[in-house]
Amino acid sequence: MRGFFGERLGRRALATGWLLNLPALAVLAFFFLVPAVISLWFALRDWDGITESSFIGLANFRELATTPRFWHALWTNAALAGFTLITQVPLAFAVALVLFKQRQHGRFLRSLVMFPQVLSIGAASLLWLMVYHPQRGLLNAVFSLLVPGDIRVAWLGSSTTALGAVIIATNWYYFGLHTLIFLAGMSGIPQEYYDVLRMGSNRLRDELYHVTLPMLREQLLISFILVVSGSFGHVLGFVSILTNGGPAGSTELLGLYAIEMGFRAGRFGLASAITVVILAVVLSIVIWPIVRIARTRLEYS
Amino acid sequence: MILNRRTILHAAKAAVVIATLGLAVTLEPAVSWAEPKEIVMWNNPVSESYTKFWKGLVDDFNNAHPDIHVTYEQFDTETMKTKVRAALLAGTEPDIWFFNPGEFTTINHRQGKIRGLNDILPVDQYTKEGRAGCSDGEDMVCIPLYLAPSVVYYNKALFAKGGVDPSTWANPDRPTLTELNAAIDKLIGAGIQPFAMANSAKWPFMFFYWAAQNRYGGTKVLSNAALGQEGGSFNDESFVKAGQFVQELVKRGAFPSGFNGTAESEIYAQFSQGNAAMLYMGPWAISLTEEQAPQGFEYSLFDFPSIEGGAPDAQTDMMAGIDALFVSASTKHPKEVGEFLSKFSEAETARRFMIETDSISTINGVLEDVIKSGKANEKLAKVANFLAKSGHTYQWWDWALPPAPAEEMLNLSQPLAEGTVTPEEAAARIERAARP
Amino acid sequence: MIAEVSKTKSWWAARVGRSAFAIALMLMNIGPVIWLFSVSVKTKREYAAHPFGVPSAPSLDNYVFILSDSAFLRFAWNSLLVTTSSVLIILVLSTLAAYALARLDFAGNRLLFIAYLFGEVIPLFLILLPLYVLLAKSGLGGTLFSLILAYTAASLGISTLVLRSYFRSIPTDLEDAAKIDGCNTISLVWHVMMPLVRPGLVVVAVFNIFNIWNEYLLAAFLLPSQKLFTLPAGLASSFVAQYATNWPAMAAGIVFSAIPLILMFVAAQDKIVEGFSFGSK
Repeated sequence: MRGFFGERLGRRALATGWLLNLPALAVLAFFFLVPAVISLWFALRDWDGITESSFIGLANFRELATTPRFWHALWTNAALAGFTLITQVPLAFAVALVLFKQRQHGRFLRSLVMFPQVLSIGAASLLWLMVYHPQRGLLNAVFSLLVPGDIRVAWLGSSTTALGAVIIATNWYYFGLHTLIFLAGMSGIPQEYYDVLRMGSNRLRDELYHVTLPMLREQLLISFILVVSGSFGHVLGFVSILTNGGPAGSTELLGLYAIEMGFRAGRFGLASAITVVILAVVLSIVIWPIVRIARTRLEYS
Repeated sequence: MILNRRTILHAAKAAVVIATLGLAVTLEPAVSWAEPKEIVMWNNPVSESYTKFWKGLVDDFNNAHPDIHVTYEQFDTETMKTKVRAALLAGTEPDIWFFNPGEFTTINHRQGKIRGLNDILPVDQYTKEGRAGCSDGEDMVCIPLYLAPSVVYYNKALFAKGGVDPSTWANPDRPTLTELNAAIDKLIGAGIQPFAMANSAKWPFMFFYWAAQNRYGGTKVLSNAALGQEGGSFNDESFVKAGQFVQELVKRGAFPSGFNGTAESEIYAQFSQGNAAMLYMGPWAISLTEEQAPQGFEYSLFDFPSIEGGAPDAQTDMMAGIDALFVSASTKHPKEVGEFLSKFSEAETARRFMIETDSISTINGVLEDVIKSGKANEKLAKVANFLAKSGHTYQWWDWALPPAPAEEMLNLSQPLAEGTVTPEEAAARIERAARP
Repeated sequence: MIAEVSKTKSWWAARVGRSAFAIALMLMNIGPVIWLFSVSVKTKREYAAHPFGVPSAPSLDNYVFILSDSAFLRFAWNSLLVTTSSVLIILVLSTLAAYALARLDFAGNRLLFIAYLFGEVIPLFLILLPLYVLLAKSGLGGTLFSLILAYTAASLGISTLVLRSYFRSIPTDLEDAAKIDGCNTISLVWHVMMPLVRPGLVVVAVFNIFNIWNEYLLAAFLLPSQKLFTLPAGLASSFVAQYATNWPAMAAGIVFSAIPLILMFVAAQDKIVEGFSFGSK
């Protein structure tokens, strides 16, 4: 086997390659792999955190399958991810498109979209708490100006509006990231592709359909992966401060359900089972895009 | 600055040095030159006066005992719950921590994680109620900080504006449900929000549920259901009636709109800013109100309404929770911990605690002393009076019930408030969680 | 003639449209932070009365209040320590790994690539409790160092992959020359490669600084003592813990925490955007 430098690398490359990766892998192993295995182990047991745990096989999973609350949480997660994919991603794409065409102040505006992230998730959540407050919130204040009468909607206090409110808050925070990803992808499309398009007719639509979208496939996949994994992961921080799963469980994500089972109801086995389910769901959803990206990126020639 | 190789190297070296120093500092927390015995205490910032008192106690103790060092940490309720549970699991719990006695702590004591205190504390100095709340059989397993009976506090000015006069009630200290409903209607008619409420933490609304169940069923029914003894069950009628009670209150408009989404601190803000006429809370509401309310704010209190047709011997019962301090069974310095905590049970300190933090003392004789001396907050004295005259007391359910039904009960709070679950369903779900 | 007229009309429409768009974007993204700042210069009373109005008598009292609280400065110092250490460790570890992934065709290369990709996707706190127990039992728990390593673990996936694409984009001539000169791998990476991927290092450093500086969940959960808390955890415990939430002071704390990031943002904005375009190649 010959390497880049034309010499025989073979075993030496093997050793070097793994050695260079060793520190990173060691950290990952300790902080991810081992806890994940522990989680899996506890998922098969019944444990209240105080007394001894006992092996119960797949009983936790069976219980989850028959618990409406679990399915509701799964559905909430799916709804969150789904709505975000429908609202945030196309919007980010559209904004990226506009920014891409914008020559004046383009660079400044570009960096602007990431500004929300100077705030921590906690600070951003508190901000939105203040926006959504029924009596003193910004949203109701604005609506009261536009519509006759006093608007006192409890955006976070009613199970019909809470999930939507949470989605809007999280979209606001992560929106810039996706915009930049698309923007970056767009700037990587060689001009020739555009030049090949025929003049006249609906230029924009043709552009989008024949050039931009196809070339941006990888960015769309990355966006998809980030939204899906984020909805099971990072969003939890937002939700725990905004609504903590309420009201009446309308914003209860799987992660929150697991935290409650583990830390409040003292059912660590069940909580671990939920965690395992989350990991499995996330991994199975993102594996196809990941493999696709890997295939295109891993060409060496 | 030119970002070439050399400057990167220099910067990297400097950073490595800083990082190493920093790590060195953080990796060796307790090993200092004098090597005093280290005691870690996790407390809850209940109110400003409470925090001030305890920090003062810790400082005084540290100064008086150079060979012992008490480290004071504070965490809010939610963080404390999570951290304590995680710590007990991993064996990293502090020497002393603030928590509520109940099923969780009883189990932990029996498993040997929480230390019995009979050998290091003067348990006889604590009142009967205090000891009862903190005992597992003969063992005292925690130090009761105070008794926290809940009463309804009301804004005198708003009552006057709404035309509600407690002196017209059959018992001015405790209205009947009919009288209270009439008062609520009058307040609404005058454009006044009757009750303050903010329920994102789930338990504030359930205060009403617990109190109603007590009036309908009594404490024996509750403890039987909670502990599963004598055939007790949450499907008992009193639980269903309690659900109906709270839903009717909501229907009547007693609570502000959207209360399921606002934080507990809003309750005290609503009351102290004059946006709601009443609140049903423990004595901490006294400190909080006096800290936040504008000058000239006048308020008084009455007990939770009696319910006509309810359980006959439950009409004078009171909800009285206990906040307590627990000691780890694996503490390395039990004697010193005992010394420190015994300071709290000295009569003089207990008196000071009661006066400064407006709490009902759990040390023998202190309550009566302070009230007699006239130094007690008058509202607190009234509350203590009610407590003394009460029939039975019952703990907050989120601690008294075993963890699983407690969680289920809390999760029913918001659906009950919204009306998306019926009282019968709610009771059945709690029962299912208790005895699956 | 007609063509010119319509061009002017649509040209104006486009300009107005673009300006409106720019303004809307600005409002949406910077507006909330500006509002937070306005809250932070109000008194508690003024905030309660006019939460959204322009501050009548802006004062920096709230900032003085939080800065004079020694705990707050300690939070800031802890944040600084943790962020710098984490970023340094991440840079070192991921550069080594990225180089190997980019240049060395060894067995398991693809597997590792996918492994890092997965690592990017799994949020650390899903395994928070087992991690906590693991750290406690192995004696590592409760120190800033364990937090630093946790942050490193959480970020290695994406950092490695981003750096890898930077490595890939560099032509191999310099390396060939160095190899011929007899350079061993480590010094090759250190002396030759690192300067070449400087923009990549900047990008990785910047987004890690953003994420780690702002991280709350792990910090609050893994750290046992307020003495060790970072800014987000410290802020939450100091102000939200009290029943009477002092919003203006809290806002001051938030703005103060955001200042380093805002500065970095302003200084490096084009680098960040450039970095993104590079990372996706």
